[in-house]
Amino acid sequence: MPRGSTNLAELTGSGLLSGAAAQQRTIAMLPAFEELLPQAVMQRGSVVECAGSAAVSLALALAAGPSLAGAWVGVAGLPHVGVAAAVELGVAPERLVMVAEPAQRFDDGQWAEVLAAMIDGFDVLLLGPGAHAVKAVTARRLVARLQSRGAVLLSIVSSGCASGASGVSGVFGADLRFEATDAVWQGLGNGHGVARGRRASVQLSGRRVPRPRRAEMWLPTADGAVEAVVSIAVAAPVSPGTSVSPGTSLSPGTSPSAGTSPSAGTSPSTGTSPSAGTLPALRRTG
Amino acid sequence: MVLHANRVVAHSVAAGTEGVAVGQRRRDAQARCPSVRIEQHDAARDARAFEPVVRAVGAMVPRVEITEPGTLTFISRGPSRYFGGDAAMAASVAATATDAAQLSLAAVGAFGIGVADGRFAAGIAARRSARRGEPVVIDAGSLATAAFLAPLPVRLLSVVAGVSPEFVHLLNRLGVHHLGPLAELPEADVVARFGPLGRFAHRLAGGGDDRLPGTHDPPAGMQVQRVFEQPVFHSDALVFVARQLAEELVGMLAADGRVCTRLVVTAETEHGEQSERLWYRSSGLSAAAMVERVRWQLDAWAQHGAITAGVALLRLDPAEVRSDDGVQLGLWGGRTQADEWAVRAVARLVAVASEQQVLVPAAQGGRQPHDAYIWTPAVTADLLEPVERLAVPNHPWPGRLPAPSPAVVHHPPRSVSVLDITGAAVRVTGRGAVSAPPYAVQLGGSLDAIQSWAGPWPVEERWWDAARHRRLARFQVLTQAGALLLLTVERGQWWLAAEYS
Repeated sequence: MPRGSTNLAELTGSGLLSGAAAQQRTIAMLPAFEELLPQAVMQRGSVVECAGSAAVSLALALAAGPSLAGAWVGVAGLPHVGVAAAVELGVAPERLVMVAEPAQRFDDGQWAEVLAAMIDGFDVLLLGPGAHAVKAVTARRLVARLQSRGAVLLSIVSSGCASGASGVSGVFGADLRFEATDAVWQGLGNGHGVARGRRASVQLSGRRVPRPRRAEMWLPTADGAVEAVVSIAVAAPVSPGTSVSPGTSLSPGTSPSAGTSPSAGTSPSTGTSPSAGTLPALRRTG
Repeated sequence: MVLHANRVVAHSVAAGTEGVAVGQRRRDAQARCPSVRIEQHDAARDARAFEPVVRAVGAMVPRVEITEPGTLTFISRGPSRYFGGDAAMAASVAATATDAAQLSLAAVGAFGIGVADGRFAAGIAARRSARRGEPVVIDAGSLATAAFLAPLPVRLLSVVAGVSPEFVHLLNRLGVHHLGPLAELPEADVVARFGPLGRFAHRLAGGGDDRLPGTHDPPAGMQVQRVFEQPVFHSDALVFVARQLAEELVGMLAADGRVCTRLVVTAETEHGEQSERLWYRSSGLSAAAMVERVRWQLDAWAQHGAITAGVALLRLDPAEVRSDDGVQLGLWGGRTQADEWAVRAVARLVAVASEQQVLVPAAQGGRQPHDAYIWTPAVTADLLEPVERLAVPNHPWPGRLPAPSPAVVHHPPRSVSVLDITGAAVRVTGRGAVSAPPYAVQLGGSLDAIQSWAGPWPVEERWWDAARHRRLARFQVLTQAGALLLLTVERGQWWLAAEYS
């Protein structure tokens, strides 16, 4: 079920209504990316690299905005992508297509054909490490095609998981690079609790970004969605009696530490950002 | 006998005499006739086996229409005059069909030929004829037809005319066991009680045709076709194109509130070989039903016809339409340019990769991360009508892990080991107790220290089925490196089921 916090009408109004899509120069992302991308839009024809420990979630969250607005998302080279997670992040499963690599692997020519067909047919391509097996010259041709067609390529260079490959830079080059760092999972104790969301610092850099930008995000929140963390400067003036407006979310749907009992004192202390500690207090006032 | 969804859908005459009946459960049927051989229902196989009969009969009489593989009907007026009467015509058709079938079928069952007014009475006559081994001819005229039908059980409405078994069951419970009494009821009362279905059943019972009022020839120009510049050899690709054509046709008809009941499917090769079949379905052909029929026809053609070249043309031509009184299916209102591009891209991907490699998600539901959605081949799915495919099954899955879901799901899971602080493998007892707190997880060659963990969350699935019974416990484990893993342990073996990347 698509999450409620994304205003679909706003998305469709703001630019991308697929169909007329090719004429539009930009493609709308989820509002959670507003801090990183001005007006939360991305240039069509962009090659975007996702790296870091939350690379897959990040790529799915980037695909979610266009997907909700009617774009199709094609996945290749990422056989283990979790559909449930994609749906929770906002990807529409009815417009999701995956090309699975057969056991004997595609060769360069086959990859070129598959990716060309995907560029022609889908507005968003999500390519995992498997699809980076193409030669550099093929990749350049495909990127040229991508730019003339106006699709967006999200490439996951390292799967960001324990089992993942090394973090080599992608063969497609990158206009933008998103990297999640300082990711902290909330809600897990020593033998109790359950993961209730991850707070990460997402950095955007790349050719088209003169100075790297940074934003704090819940990736995902407790209900699996993506949300920007409202900066502490905004949260500070909240005093007892002032209610936190429901629109500005300070935390994922549920307080991240809800699963852990405070008395146990075992909440993962390493790297827990200060604002996370203040959250229960804010909740109580609201 | 032939089974579909654990119910008998067809049986041989011999099994019938032992008490096997259509609609029975497998167990009941086997109890009546323990030696019966069981086959699963496969319409494509039936279509292939039936093709020679369609060919042979089609050469004798014009406008043969196929209701389903195994049943064909034609209008007997002309042929009957040509052969010198219904009986002579029936005998001649029977001989031709039997000859043709002997070429393709190892064991020839009995053919039934029935001649009557209307498809329903003719269908019953054909069934009776199959048992007797000689054609059955019912006299012309609605009175004679009604008299033939009157003593027959209402069950035939569901067996022959495709009325739902629940409706028949309801009639039985109301004390209407035979078609005669049903026909004698005032039509207005039947309609008032049962609606359009009642009107349909009432007309059939009274000897009327199953052709509904409001049936007419379609307006000109309704046919859809695709000419291939590059002849197509793969039936997958053809079926995919057929799906697009069928959706286009159904969309055009639906815009007028109509549904196609008779469809001519034509395929032509580059060398001019042609396959043309007329398909009939009284309840109307949906896009999926059309695609199914195209697939049957192409399969049968490829197997029995001498195709020497690729297919260059595929055409769907509605031969009869009627107003759609049923559910108005999607009118393709939400269809956009992006959808069309995507559908075309999928067709191309199927050609480049293969049918099995191009996948779309389908909701399944379950407790494991890989159970919630499965990937199914795009060619078998309706890309633009995803509601059914993605409808989340309405059962609760107690014990399923809450959101957020893992972004990387390993299916099949990867083998790992989980060690305690002494370096011994961590075990989970039958009562869900952990032998020692997990300290490190070993994946491949690398050993990662565990920062925090939660679990075990036990799952016991299908305890009633020894072969598929599973008992496992799940853990969430956060490594020092910051990776959150979903591990399962089953019979002492640890698995990496998913990663929250």
